[in-house]
Amino acid sequence: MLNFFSSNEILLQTIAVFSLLAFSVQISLRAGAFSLAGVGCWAIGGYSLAISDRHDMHPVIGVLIGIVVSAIISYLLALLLVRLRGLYLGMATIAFNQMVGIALIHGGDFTGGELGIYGIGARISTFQLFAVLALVSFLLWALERGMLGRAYNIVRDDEPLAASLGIDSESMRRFAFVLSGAVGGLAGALNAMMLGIVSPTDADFPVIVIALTMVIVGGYHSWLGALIGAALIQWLPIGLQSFGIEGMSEWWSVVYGLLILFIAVYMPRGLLGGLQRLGSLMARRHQDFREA
Amino acid sequence: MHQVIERDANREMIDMQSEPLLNVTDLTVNYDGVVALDHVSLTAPAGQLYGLIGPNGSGKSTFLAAISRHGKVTEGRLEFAGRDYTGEPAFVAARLGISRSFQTVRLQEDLSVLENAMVGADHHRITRPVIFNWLRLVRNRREEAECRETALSALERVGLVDYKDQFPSSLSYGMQRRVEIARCLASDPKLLLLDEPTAGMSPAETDDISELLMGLRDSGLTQILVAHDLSMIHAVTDHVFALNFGKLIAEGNSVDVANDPDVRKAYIGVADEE
Repeated sequence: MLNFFSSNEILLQTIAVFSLLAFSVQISLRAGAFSLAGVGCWAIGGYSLAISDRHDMHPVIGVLIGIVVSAIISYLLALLLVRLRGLYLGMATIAFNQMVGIALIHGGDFTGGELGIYGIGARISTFQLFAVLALVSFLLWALERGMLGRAYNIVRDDEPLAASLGIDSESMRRFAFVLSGAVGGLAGALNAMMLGIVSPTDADFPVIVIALTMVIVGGYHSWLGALIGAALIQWLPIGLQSFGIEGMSEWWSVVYGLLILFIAVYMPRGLLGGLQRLGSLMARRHQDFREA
Repeated sequence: MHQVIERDANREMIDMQSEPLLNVTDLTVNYDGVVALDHVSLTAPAGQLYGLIGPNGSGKSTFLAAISRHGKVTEGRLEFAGRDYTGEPAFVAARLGISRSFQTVRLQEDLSVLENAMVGADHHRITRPVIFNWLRLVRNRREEAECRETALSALERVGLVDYKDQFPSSLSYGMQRRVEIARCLASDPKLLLLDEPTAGMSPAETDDISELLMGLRDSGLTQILVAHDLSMIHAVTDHVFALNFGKLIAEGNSVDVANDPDVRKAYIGVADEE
């Protein structure tokens, strides 16, 4: 067991960090906001940590700065984009991510230009990463159950109904937006500590694609889906190799594409949704069997 | 807690002054130059079951949308229990105690019947900002239990308590409608707006709903019922408002309104004016 952990330490760390990134996107999707601004916050969080590290600040301070800056920017973004929905909101938030990327390139010595900032001294252990992941998972669990869970369901699916029930959709969505940004910033800061480097590509398109893929594959209706998606997507390239198929890594993107197609067509609620449906089918069959 | 006290105080105020629950003055709604409602004024004292009738396109749904603040108000003034809420958004109207159903069934497919009703009972907690509800882990458990009780008693009132663990998709249309009414009741409304709750129902189902609405009226709930079925309006309502071309053309008890020449003209379809 210990052997497994030490030989897969990098994979586990990556899973933890990318789970947090997936949470960031899942939080806003769950609230009915197709926002990818979490990726911009991921870059902001990473740079906040890197810059505060360069000024010899404690890593915890660096992480907190990343969270707070991301949350404030997300709040302003939420005020600006309040009327946008669906694809338009998606496009606007992608544009925000691009703007973050461009600002980082042109930030001069402050952001290190195109090369970014490397040689970050702050480090984080696998245990610490998983402690943070557990804490955030717990907070999201609390947000998704009971009354808030029901209310967010309705805000996502039927705004007029939400209003008729006294639910202030706008403020609930704004809260999700800010939380999504904060978690994105946290994820970015931890990623910077894990890799020791940040670069303007952190806000680039590939990161958006991977963040969205993790959430869609795992299922955006729950934090658990995002976690499953992140673990699967990060493990898959390594997993394929360990099946001993030589040269499989070249085919990785084909497998990746097929997987996404399959899930999009047959499991609109992602792997978690598929598993839940399977579970309830089995339970029903079991009940029928007992009644018969 | 504060909100509960305020609500009770409001309720007492209504009882003492017995002023109209809903007061609509010169309500006008324009859609791109088309006048959907034209200076409609009406007063609805508490405790009665009101009918709202009129041919297709007469402005019934626009009226309901305006007073629940889901639709726009171009001109006029809306007062609920003495409070002007003309400029408020729909969720504020709901928090004041105006509950409504929609023309189509709107239930959450991934929530059970009980959970759908609980959504209504969440009404008083949802006024708190998200962050307070989020971090109140221990008290949430107790409130969740109370909310469950409220939802169960609402389901009992509509006769669906045995179906609480089913999902909406497995219920008949009439039952789904009753779940919606239970969801409204769970929010403990002061005014219930029902937009054609019996459209597409069998006569037996319609009778069930009629009985339910009259029972609610007897327990003191003020309701406004929009319906096409005039025999149902006749059977259940205390007072009827008739709309045509966005104007209030008659009001009174159902027999008088049905015999009103303007109403007859509107329904039988005699060409208006020249």
